[in-house]
Amino acid sequence: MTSIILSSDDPALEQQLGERLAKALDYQHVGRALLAEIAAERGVQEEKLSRALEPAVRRPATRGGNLLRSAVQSRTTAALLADSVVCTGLAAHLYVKDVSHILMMRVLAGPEAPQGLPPREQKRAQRKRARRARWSLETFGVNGEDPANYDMVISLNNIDKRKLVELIGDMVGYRKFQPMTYSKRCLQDQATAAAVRTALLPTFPEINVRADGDAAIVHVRCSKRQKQCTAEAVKSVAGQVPGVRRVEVHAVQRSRDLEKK
Amino acid sequence: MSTPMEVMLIDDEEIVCKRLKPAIEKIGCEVEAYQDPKAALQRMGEKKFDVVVTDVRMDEIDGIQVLEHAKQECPGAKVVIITGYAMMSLAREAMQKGAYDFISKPFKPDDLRQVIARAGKELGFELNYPLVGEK
Repeated sequence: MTSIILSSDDPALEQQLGERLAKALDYQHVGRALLAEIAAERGVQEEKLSRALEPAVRRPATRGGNLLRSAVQSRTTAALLADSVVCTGLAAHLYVKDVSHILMMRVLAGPEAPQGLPPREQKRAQRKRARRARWSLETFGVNGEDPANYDMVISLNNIDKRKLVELIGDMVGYRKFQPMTYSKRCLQDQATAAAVRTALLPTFPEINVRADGDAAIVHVRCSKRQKQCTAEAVKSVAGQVPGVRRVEVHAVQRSRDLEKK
Repeated sequence: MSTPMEVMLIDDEEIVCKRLKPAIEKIGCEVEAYQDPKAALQRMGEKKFDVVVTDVRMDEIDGIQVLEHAKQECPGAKVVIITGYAMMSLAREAMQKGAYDFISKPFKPDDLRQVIARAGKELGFELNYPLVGEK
């Protein structure tokens, strides 16, 4: 069955709507509770995981942050492999891409142009949105504020929550959102790539990973001299990830070459 | 059901027809393979097929047109789209127009057999192929 990724500019609303939707549709809700599980598994504070999924005001991107984000991505995409899931609070709208049986929803809690607020507050809200857009673009290559990335964007100024749940319930029945071999494979590939990335990041901080069936294709930054031993080390780590039977390693020498992959 | 399931396979690449035809026959289906989609559409007017497997990018007639034609000529047929140019928009369009499944190339013959066996089960055929997730 179709799954749903619901995001909002208001995290509390996102969680509340997710629970409501899951109950109404008899779906499984995958939300912030997953962070507690990941935190326990990795021996980190849950708060650190939460922070990794939010833009920082004065904090530069760190190696640790990348690893935590990758761990969340890996667990979330794996959870989405199950049928009939409502996912909220895990920033999945930024990293689950081009999976046709996942309905991407954006719910706006406040007005798009908050005329009701004083000018200073308006500017602050705009700055916050711009910062979030920049962060999501830099971190995941997706502007989370861009409506083009969603199947539906709804403002709660124009519709009440009960009607919203009904609308989404209708949409999941559309044929175009039904799972198919291709979309399930796309999601499986993304889950595998995230798992491989999470396994490799502690040792190889500059990598780009994608998966194609049982093959993991890894671009890793290293010097020419280290090419062979790096490739062997990557193969040995990535080869242990469930579902990976073949590992292809490409060494690149500049960070910017990784971004092109 | 004692009659075999009738499958039409359309792909303009000879090698694809050559490889997939015996792979589908292996599970007990009768398969007619066509490299020319025009001839395939004409054949649909003469004979009813249970499953139609079609490529998307072909000269003159594309897979979406085949799908639309199949839905008119054989409304009960399950149409499976196979393509080397898979995109989310195309996949959604095919599903919207009534495709049964959408598979991106390259795929293993087993992947297609799995889909055909599932379609066969829904149509009431008993095929010689175990479905994944079923005992």
